Amino acid sequence: MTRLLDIRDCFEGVIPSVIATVDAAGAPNVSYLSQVHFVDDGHVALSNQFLSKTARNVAETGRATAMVVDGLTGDQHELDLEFVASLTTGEVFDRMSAHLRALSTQHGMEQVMRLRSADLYRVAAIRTVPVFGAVPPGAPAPPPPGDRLAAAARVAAAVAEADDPDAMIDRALDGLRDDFGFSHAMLFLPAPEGGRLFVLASRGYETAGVGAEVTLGLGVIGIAAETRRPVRLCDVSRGVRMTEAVRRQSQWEDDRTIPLPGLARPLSQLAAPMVVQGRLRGVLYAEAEGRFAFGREDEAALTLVGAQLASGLLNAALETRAAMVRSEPSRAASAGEGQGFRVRYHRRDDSLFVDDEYVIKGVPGRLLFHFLRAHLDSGRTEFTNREVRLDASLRLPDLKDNLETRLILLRRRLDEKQAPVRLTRPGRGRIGLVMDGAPRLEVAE
Amino acid sequence: MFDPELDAFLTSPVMILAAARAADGRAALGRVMGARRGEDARLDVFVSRAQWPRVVEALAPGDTVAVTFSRVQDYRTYQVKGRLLALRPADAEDQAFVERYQHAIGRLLASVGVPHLFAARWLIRQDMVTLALDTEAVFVQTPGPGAGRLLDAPVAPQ
Repeated sequence: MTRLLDIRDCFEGVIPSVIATVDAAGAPNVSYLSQVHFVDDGHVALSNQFLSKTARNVAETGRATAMVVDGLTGDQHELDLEFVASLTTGEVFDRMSAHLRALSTQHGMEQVMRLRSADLYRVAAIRTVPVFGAVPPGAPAPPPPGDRLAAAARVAAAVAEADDPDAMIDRALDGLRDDFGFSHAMLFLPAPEGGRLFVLASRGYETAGVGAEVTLGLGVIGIAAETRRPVRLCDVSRGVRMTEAVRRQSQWEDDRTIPLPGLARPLSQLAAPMVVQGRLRGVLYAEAEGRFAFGREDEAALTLVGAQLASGLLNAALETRAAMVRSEPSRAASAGEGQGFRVRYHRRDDSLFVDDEYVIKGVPGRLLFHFLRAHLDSGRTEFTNREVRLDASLRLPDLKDNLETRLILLRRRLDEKQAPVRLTRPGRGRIGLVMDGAPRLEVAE
Repeated sequence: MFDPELDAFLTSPVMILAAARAADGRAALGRVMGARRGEDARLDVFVSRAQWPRVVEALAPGDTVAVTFSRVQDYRTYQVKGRLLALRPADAEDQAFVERYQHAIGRLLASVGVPHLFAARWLIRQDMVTLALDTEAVFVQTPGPGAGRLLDAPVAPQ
């Protein structure tokens, strides 16, 4: 007999499912259903959104019949379902809720679909629907993912071997590319002001997009962050891609927005939250052009790598903070040989432009302006994390352990822009300022 | 109940499903290979008995059949509830109708990126039967706030 585990490719939401019920008098009802969720080998769960007639019939009879379709082959299976319970909390509910929200926000729907309950059903029977005539064989199964647990262990170990945050980040993303074959990936960190996440590093795109932002609670990345649940989509529909295209277009038009890198048409998306000590520390994201690029094991593996990276970054930040690095300002300033460059800083949003090109805004913008002004005032080219943290004039939000990652963001953004001013990391807890020529500062509102 | 626009929708290349009460009291379902409007509230739909035996074998005249029509491009969906007038093997004219539907919906699915090997599994013409229905109600089932609304009675529940 066919088992649910044998037909797991039916439960990825690639092809709509169907649910049929009868009422107590025997009158039938049939409706599409976006997805039947796999729970375990004996159970599935359906999302209860607006299937009012279906819900009433199930309440009357306790039974339903579903048809699910294999997302790789198109094979159809009928499931006889026996209602067990409506879940409004717990792992199954949370996972389905995050998935539904990711889908609905990606579709650009005005009202985000909220999951009322996850309705748990026992699967009493599975019947494979026969096919006739000259039916082409199903698509070849995707290449075996290899041993994802071993790959996750290798990448996590490489991250753990690194002793500075930059190396940890690079090893994690390189590992995803080389050990997992995820050729398009990004690391997001939460912005300290809340409500957004920004790209700290990426692999596989024409521009790294360091500093580009996504909104918390929107899209696969935003939902994974807000719910702290991995979100995996196996076949993002045409509507989603259109929404994405509109969003990308509008981002390009704002002169203070860094375009988010990304594939034009990712059919597969996977986002895993990075959580340490109960707090969100970031999101690891991978995408692919093909359908079904990521499986359940990839979801688990990305979560493991993300947790290791988040712990490493947190530990490094705490160590840096504890280290009593004394400020020894170097006055032997070498401003380089260049022509100099113009820096315009806007107080309103801490946005900073170099030679009229937008660089960054928010805390990193404020920090860079502070370094440059200090350099002009005293000739300094070296600073310490500690003095920055203690400097009340910088009006830093309660950054706690986030200062280090803000500095990494700023450093990588300046590198990506090939700006005439760059940051270096001469030692743990130290920040070096390297300039090609002397800066001329302007302050605007 | 029916107007020219709805008629045009129901007989255009849309995905169609049928459900009925099976012999064991459960709902049985199947894909429908096209729908043809007749006079008044008459609606003929075509189902492969070979592929969907449960839904076909349970039916007897007088039974209610639910038929859902959904447009692939925009998810616009209607559900028709009808009483079965007759069930018979598809005749030559029905077969020709089913074949035209198969080609039209096949082209449409291909145009939105559904692989041919999928469509080949869904669009089966083996052992076709014709269900002649007398339509009793049509419900709007497009996902969203209006889902479940009776087409010509805006506030009645489904």
